[in-house]
Amino acid sequence: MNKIVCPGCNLGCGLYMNDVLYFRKNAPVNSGKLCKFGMKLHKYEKALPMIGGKEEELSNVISAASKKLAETKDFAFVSFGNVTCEEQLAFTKLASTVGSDVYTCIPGFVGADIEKIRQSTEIITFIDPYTTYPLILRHMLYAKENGAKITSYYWKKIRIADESVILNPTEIDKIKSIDFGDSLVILDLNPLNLEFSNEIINSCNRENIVCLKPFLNSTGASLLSGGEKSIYQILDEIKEKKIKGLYLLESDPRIVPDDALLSALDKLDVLIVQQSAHNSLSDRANIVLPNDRTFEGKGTVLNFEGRALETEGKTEGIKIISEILKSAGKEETSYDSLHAEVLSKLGITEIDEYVVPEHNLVYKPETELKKYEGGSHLIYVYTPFLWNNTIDRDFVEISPGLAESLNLHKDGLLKMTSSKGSAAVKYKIVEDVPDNVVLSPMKLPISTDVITPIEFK
Amino acid sequence: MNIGDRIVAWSKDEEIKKEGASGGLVTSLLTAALKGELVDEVIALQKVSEFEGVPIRTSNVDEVIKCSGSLHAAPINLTKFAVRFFEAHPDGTLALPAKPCDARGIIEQAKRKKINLEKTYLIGLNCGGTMPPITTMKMLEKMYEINPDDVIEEEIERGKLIFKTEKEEKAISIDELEEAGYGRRENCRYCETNIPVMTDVACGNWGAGKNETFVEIFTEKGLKLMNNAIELGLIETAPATEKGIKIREKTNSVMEKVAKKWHKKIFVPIEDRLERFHYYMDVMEDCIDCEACKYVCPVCACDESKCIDFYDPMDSHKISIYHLVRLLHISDSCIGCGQCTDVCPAEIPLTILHRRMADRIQAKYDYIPGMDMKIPPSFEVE
Repeated sequence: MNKIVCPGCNLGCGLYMNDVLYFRKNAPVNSGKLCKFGMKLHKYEKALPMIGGKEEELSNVISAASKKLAETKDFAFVSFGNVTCEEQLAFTKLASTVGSDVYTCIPGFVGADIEKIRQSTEIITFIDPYTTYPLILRHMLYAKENGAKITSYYWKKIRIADESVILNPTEIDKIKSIDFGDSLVILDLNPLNLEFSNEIINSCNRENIVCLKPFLNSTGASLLSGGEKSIYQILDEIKEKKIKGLYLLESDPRIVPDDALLSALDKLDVLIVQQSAHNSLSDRANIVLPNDRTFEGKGTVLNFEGRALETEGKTEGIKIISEILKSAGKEETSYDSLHAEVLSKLGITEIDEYVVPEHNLVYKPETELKKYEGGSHLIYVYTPFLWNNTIDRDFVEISPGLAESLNLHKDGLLKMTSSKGSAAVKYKIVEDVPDNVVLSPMKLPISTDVITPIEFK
Repeated sequence: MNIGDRIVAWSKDEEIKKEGASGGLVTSLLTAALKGELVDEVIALQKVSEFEGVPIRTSNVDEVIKCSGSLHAAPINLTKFAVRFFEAHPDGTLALPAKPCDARGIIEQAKRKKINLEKTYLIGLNCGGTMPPITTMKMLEKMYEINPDDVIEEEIERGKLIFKTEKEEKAISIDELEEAGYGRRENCRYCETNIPVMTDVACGNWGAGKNETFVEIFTEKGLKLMNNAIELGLIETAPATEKGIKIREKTNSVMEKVAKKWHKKIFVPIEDRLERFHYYMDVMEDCIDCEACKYVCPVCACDESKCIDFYDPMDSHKISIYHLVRLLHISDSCIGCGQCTDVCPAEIPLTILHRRMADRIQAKYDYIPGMDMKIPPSFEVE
């Protein structure tokens, strides 16, 4: 069995895997426990090497990718961090050969570690730990059992919280007046909520923030790649033809709530996608390079705490990038040399998963909190696992008051309209959601942003 | 040698004797089973560290030898690995070491035709309990003042938990550790089945001398396992001494008493029905729907699961139907192994919840699961 790190998010849960999954009970972050995503890891459909939508020999696809990289000007490279540090570093080297950088779309930042949650007496959380990062829940439960007071700021009541402050888009400024004091803050830093996380990170003691991130190696990627553009900026620049070629390494721009923004991809001269799973993005790409599944390859991962973890798969995930470098006549790279460079950049000589090394990733806030007018809003309550397309939650959550006012009955549909059209969806009634808010764990076609103004029709 | 005999035995291979626990008998029985072609494959626990073991299925004798030694802080149940063996090889033969909870899970699966017990050699391991690895590592630092990386061997002897490093050996009583919140897993504390009398042969260090294993032979298969290893020249045996037999009886009796004490302490009755309802509701509401408890449950044998089929995440129930179905469904077969609690990401004390239900049902039907091939009450058709 391979000892691996779950690729579901940046928590760094350890497990064993071959044809079946097994629990690794001495894994430092999760003690062998897994969420629903981790439990379904072994059920993925693999991507195939393709050119123009047709399956091809891998060597031909690598040559084609190499040729396109040489021919096309203004190439952008994107890797959110769904690969190991070694792959990320190889990708950065590849980008540098055409004078480009790798964009991770998440600012670099390492906050407090898990022990700090367990030792806290006051916790302020901005996530729903039951669905967004479920393996953080047990550490919060531990703190609570030991007397910690938990206050939640979220769109609905959070069960574990002693006090739930229900947020509403129309009163989002409320978060500016939070008195953080010495409280430990639990925050989700992801490409879709940067203005929200900026506000929090700028308002409290940064050493007290547990900064959760959505991709396997978000932290390592930030450390090893310097590009500082959001996914929205990249899509805008493609639209403006400033970016003509795009190479996506295990990174899916379809995470953006507004599908209309994705039409920018059609303006590209070339789209290269290197990923393990087959999906509609690979159908859209000019070139598809089939990556090893993260849990098949070996390498180093840096979790949200900055803890270095080893994934001990059988394959060296850098093979394809290395072949492209070779094909382009550039200096070849090996796993061993990349691994040594990774350790050097992490400032460690060996990986000890039970020790969290010091890191200095400076956070550079850029965006301002958005303002929302009155009326009703659809909120996309994304989770990392939905981005991995594995968990089906095809319903929205609404308040009992809204269900009552719309005279909705069991097994009925909620009808909503935004500037992009109408949708009718199944719903679940949950406690303490504002009556003007609809929470959607799935991306709906009527979404224009994470928060979309809607009417009920 | 006969069924019912109590003897002491040890490996004749010096390497196995050194690396294996109590003279390496279990490792030698497993290797002998492969060498003598009694079995096609063996399941064993490969040691990664003192706190980590990985189950392997192998027909390679060298790999089995590498699995020598006991791992008290790697609490793994091997039942589902045995199920997978018979899924892949319906006519195959298998040998594996089995703590009482492994053996009980295997017997419950055998009743459901997922394991062929006639083709499974169960080498029972006397068990005083296992420990959660991460908590044990913390315990080493706080209670023993030992760096977990320095541990080269651990042992449970005469109510004490002993850790050895290159430089020192420290022992602390299990009672003291458990009062401080460390020590054995909660379910092990109240487990009264310390000697796996349902296996083919039970092995342990209670009543044995240094580098010896105390052995009790229960079945024809057990006799075959022992004779096979003797014929291959891999083990040596001697009759158990009267003193050894008394120590074994006394240790077992003390362990049972301790378990009863813990059971009373943990399972304080909740007489009031409404209070009981709220107790279940309160802890189960933390469930995040991962289904890990079902995946790891050694007695769960459903291919198409009612607990999953009846559950819809869209329901607004405070307790998911998934858990209600599971509570009912395994109430007659739950063996209290603790695996569900171990893997629950929301730290729901699932084993306690299931045992609260199962204790009543199993007492009512006078049925103890996993002890013999007697069918469970839910199978009975009048």
